[in-house]
Amino acid sequence: MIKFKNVSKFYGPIKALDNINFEIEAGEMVFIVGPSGAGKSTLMKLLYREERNTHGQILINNIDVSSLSEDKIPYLRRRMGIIFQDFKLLPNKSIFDNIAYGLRGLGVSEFEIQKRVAGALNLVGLLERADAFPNELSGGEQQRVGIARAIVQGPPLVIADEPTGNLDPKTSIEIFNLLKSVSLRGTTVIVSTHNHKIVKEFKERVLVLEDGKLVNDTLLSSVSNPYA
Amino acid sequence: MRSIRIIWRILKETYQSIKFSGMSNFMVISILTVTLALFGGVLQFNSSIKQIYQNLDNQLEFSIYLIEGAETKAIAQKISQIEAVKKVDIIPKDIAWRTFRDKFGFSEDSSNPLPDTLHVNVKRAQDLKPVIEQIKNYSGIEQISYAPQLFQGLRRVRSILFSFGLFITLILAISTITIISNTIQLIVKSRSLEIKILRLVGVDDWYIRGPFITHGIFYGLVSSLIAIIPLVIFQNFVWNSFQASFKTIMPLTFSFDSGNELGLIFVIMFLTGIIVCGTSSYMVTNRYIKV
Repeated sequence: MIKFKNVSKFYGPIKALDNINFEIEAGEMVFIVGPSGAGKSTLMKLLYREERNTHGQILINNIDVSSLSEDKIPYLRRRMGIIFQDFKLLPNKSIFDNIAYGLRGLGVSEFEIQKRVAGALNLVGLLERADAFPNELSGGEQQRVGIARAIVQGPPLVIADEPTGNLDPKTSIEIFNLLKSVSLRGTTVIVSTHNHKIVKEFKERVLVLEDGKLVNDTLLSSVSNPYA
Repeated sequence: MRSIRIIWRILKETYQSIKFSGMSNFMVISILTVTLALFGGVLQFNSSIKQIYQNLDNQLEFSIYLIEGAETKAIAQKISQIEAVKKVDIIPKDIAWRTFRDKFGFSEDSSNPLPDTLHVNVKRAQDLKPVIEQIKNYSGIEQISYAPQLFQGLRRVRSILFSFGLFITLILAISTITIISNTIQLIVKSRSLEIKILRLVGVDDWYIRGPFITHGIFYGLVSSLIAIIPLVIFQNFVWNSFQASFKTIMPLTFSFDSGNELGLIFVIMFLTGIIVCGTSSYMVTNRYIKV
């Protein structure tokens, strides 16, 4: 489903990613780990074309993301859900409206929106809080809303950039479990995190980045902590 | 159906955007209204003067003031024999003075300063100047008055006022565009999170930019509607009464009416407002909203 071929990204003279090569199959759950500044967020941004790679090729379902024209980018993004460390919820809108906001922009009917939002909220266990506002929720609940928003369109790919960066370990595990359940429904899930200890619990595929280089790509269950 | 839903939602977002802008709307609309009213005023002034000229160019009549003691009837006879002349009316100075005195309320004791006057009608508008050229060397003629001649000075005044008006309009337009751009830019920045979410969900670019552009168009629409009010007032009360009093002091009978161009001026103001505001907003979104 996803192929990185000799991908590099420069910010001026600074090399954020250096000759990255990997493939991810449809339905896989993959963690991208590494310390701050390793290039995790850059790699995620290349996937949803917030940034453009300097060299190499990024293929998603055989479509070269890096050479995609600007008017095609919205179509790419409709096929993925994105989750952020800081949740990016609109404070003046209810939970329901936060999730429905993008769907309204896509021209989905109100009936369909009701159905889809209810389904997504049910999946993250927040159906009862649909009318609440973000400031009435805990950090973990806010991130669950972020997950509901990412999956509400039923995308084949979910990208979570440091989704537990602002959360305590217990809540982080809950969030990773939720993402795991999303993956089990057939969605490809890519999660970046610097929290390697929690990743260990999940025995999933892990790509380790250091200084912009991919230093390890394996199932975590078969290796010890690569940078412990 | 989807397109209708999206358009409806763009309008709802526009409403939200206008509501969010609060007092900024009032400021932008006020300045834009003044600019458009001035622009419309310049067009209206220009159109009115232009119409006066057109009417004057079509004049078939001119007046001849005779010197004291001139052979009025003989001169009238001589002029009436010219091929292009249709009719010559003699206005004796006593009758002219009575009319003038009655109109402007002079006392009966006042001495009559007016000369005998001839009103000459030519057959075609293009005959006017050749006939005047022919007559002006006749003896007994003090002065020949015809409308285009009266307005020689006005032509220059019109040109100066038109250029000055356009210059002021241009300065105001630049200020207005700057203010509109800044207002839209502030709204774009304050709604950056919403814009980011929409972008990353894969919403079409025009849906994201749309509400900001329609917000700008709203300014142009409202301002041009308000700006037309002073122009209508000017047209109906000031300009029309000016025309009425002007006709009473004209030695000739002619008509001019600029009212029929007011509709066209309004359309120009309306389109200018919408295009300028819409374009300014589009340029702001182009600069500050990236895919």
